[in-house]
Amino acid sequence: MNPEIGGQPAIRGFGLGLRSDHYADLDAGAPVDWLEIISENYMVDGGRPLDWLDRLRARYPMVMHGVSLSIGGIDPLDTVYLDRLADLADRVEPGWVSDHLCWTGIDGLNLHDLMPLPYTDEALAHLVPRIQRVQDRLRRPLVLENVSSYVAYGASHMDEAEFLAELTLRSGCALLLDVNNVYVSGFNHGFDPRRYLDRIPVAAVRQIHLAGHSHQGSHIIDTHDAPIAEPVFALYGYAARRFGAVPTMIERDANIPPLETLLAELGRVRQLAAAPAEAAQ
Amino acid sequence: MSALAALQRRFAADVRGQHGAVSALVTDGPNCGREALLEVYRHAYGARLVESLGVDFAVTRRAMGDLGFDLAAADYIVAHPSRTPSIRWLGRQFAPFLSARDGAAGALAALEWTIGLAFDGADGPTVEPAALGLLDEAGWMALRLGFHPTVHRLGLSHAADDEIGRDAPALPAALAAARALVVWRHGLDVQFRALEADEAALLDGARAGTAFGDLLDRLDLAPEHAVLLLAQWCAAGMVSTLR
Repeated sequence: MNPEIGGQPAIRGFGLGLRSDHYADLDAGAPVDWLEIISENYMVDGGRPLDWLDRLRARYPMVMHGVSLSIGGIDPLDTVYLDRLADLADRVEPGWVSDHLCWTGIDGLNLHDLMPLPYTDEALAHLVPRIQRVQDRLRRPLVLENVSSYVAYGASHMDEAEFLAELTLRSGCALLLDVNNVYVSGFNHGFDPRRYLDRIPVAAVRQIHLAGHSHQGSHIIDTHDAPIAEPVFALYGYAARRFGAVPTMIERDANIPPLETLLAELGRVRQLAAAPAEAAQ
Repeated sequence: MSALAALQRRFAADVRGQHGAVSALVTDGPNCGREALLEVYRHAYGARLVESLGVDFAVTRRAMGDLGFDLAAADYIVAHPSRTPSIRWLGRQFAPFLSARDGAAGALAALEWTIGLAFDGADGPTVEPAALGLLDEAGWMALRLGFHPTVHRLGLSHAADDEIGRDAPALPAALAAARALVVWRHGLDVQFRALEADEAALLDGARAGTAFGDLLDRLDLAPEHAVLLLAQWCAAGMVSTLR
């Protein structure tokens, strides 16, 4: 297990997204360095979910990953949600708290999807104070993930990499770089994912996500229901060479295989990180 | 309205059924047109929410059949779009929505939802039955109970509790008279059981904060029987405090 500093774990190495299918196997002990929890799954009052959370937290360092912050949404930040998120963070003492660079609803309605933002000065000006309010409430830096997107907006006058770089500069937030999402969005929008990675500030990247996707021929959908695709492995090798030893994990949300299958996939990720130059060829 | 607000409002309208509302603001992709790409979001919105309801109401879905359930769930999402950050609460109004169409399905959904509330409801202390033995007569008469936060009462029009544990659940049969049910969590395990009329009345009165002595008078219960019921509730982890 990683050492803990001041109650918050030092997250290093390679992790997995915690899913209930694997509770018992993880409780028995597994060669995984840390776990990422979906924050909303544990923003409940009690019972078995929190019991499992506490048991596994005693064994593994954790980071928290949310899906409902709607940091780019126009509606005011949901203070009840933020309070519950802060309470959960106090309980878990995560390495960090992350969510997605997106909006999830408007006018009080929640679409429960990660909707893309236009890459405009208006969006940047909207995001920066909201990020700072979240960081103040959580008393922790916020880490934001690039989402997979299927449409681009005519209003955008920056590309995504430029927008992310500017956002980290202005807000002080860190990045959760989802390499699969870079690949998916690169295909869907016709940009070179390696040139994208080249323009992401190295110091801003706190964590890397890897996942599987579904190739539809004319577009790719980020489904998290399959093993990591070969081109994404190759792109990860390129990312590992540029960003170094960034904590990296696999997300799997459907067709969830036995834990040993994911651990074997994570073993391949470890190997790539150890020899990124060869992998990136 | 800002450009960002207008874009989000039009995109939300598009995925919720006003197809084309945001088309003018998005661009074609290199490999396919904007409508095909927008369809990813349109499809995902309904599919994700219907899938979530199918998980939270898994027994109801099996009893209704996948197609019937999914059609009802899609109608529900139109009538009750999500207004909470967590998808956990999407199904809050699903049981009454189903009941208006099909009482049997609604009863099954009501029981499943209540089981879910007990599953991840707040933890709380429990009182051992032995604590009742410390009360003198005056203490008994003035006794008020505090219940575990996961204790819920249901009145079922259909025998949903007969179906909930079956491998192949069916829509429950209608009951001649409403069945009183209590649902709660003991430790980490959700429990439920039917109540006789006198126990249901005693439990409802006690949950309303009425003193034990007043309940005995009002319900015309034999004290020995009522004390036995209280002891059973304590043993089952339903009681949190004696006041």
